[in-house]
Amino acid sequence: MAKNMQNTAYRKIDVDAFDPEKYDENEEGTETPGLGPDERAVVSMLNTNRNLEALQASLLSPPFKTKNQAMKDKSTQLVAKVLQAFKSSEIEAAVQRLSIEEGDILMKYVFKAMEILADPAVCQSLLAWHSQLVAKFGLGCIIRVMTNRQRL
Amino acid sequence: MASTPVQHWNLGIGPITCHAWNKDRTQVAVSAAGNEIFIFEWKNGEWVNMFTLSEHDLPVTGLDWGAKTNRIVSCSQDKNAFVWTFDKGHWKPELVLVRFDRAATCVRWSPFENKFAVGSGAKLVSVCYYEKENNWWVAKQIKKPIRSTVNCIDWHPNNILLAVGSCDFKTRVYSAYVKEVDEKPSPNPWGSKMPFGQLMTEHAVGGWVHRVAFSPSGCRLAYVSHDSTISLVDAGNDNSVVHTLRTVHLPFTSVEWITENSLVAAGHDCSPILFVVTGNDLKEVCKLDIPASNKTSNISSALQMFKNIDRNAASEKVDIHLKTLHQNRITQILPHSGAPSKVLKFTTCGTDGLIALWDLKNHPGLSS
Repeated sequence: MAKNMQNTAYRKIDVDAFDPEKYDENEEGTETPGLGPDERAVVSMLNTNRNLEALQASLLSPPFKTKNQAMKDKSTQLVAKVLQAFKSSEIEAAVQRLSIEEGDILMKYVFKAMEILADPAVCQSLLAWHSQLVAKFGLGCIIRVMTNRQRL
Repeated sequence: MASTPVQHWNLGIGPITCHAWNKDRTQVAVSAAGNEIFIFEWKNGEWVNMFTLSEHDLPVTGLDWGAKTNRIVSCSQDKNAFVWTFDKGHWKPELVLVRFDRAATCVRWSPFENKFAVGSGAKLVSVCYYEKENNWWVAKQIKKPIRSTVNCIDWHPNNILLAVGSCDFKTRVYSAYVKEVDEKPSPNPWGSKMPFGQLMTEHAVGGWVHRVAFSPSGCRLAYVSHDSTISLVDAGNDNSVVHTLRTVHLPFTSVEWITENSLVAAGHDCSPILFVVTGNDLKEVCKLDIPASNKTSNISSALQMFKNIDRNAASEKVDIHLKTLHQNRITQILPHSGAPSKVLKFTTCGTDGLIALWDLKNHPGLSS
């Protein structure tokens, strides 16, 4: 009798994982994952009333690729904090300054923030941002959030 | 264009998934949501249904009419493809063994019409050619590395290269060189070694790809995907770089080149939109559907007003009529008249059951 009969670990190997036909939609892309925005820099900009700079800094290196949900949520909370710092009258001007890439990223954060920060005051500001983003970047902006596989 | 209304016809067969024109544009093959293919002929100022081809069992997904050979190829969710030849007043079907275990999704004749390609939900493309010895269509399959349903295919004008767009968010260019029927391909901007199934380029997008199209020269490739973008690969420049334009519109389902430098895309926004290539990038020019300023009829009578209130359960008149000609998604664009490098008219078909004929002549956006 063979010696390794006791070892049954091989039975637990997930053979399906080795199927070349298997398609994992999340394995796409080998770029380095975004590490999320630099929180300290963003907060210091907010404290010195440089809101627009803070917004653009908070949209840098979004953590789309990481699997760490806590990190994603932290970035979302940071962006939501920045968005709240704007007065409702300033939102339109701020959105006009964003590039289309930044607009798409911000839209993702807005939807995610609506999901995890269901506070009436927060949502009011988020809805204002949402409508301004749609006014500038159109329905295509919403479609790209829904279609894209890199989620927050 | 603003002065002359766009010609359009409602064929009365319900939502149109695809259509195909014969060589002189007097006949059109259309498929509605069902398993039948209708062939209409233009007679005395109206479209008359001449033939109804009902060999498929499930909804037809793709149609193409070969202008040179006057043959129709069709494919369907029933996993089959048929080649139809017109003989003694009848369309005769010939079953093609495409060897799919999922629905067929799209079909296109190659430019020389000696072979055709069928895409399918089985993550592969069958390239079919006629074997004279056996009187039989034979399929060769391209599988790797497609990892999801193939949505669309398009042939390069050289009859060898095949662009494939699929639901794994990728657009790929393959060699579909079949040594039995093709002459040895010469090197081109997409590559020099072209055995059958060779992957020439691969490009990622942010959504599943609805339609790919080679430019008239074959040097450029455009594709539209479900993230409301339109992308361009210029192989004359660098076939590994893709220029993607994010648009403000709803996703496009179709794109067609009208000259080497301009293309028309249409989709869920119900209006064709003109794009031009400037330098390396795509630029949006304008919507081609110029809405009439007042298409909505006023409420004619008090009775009508109360009827509206009653129907809509609202105190205001709710207008659900879109300002565009098409009242629902456009599913396909086809060139109608002119040369491939200078399309003068094109047609669109849509889920609203319309086929519209758009005239590009004297259009302000096309002056370049």
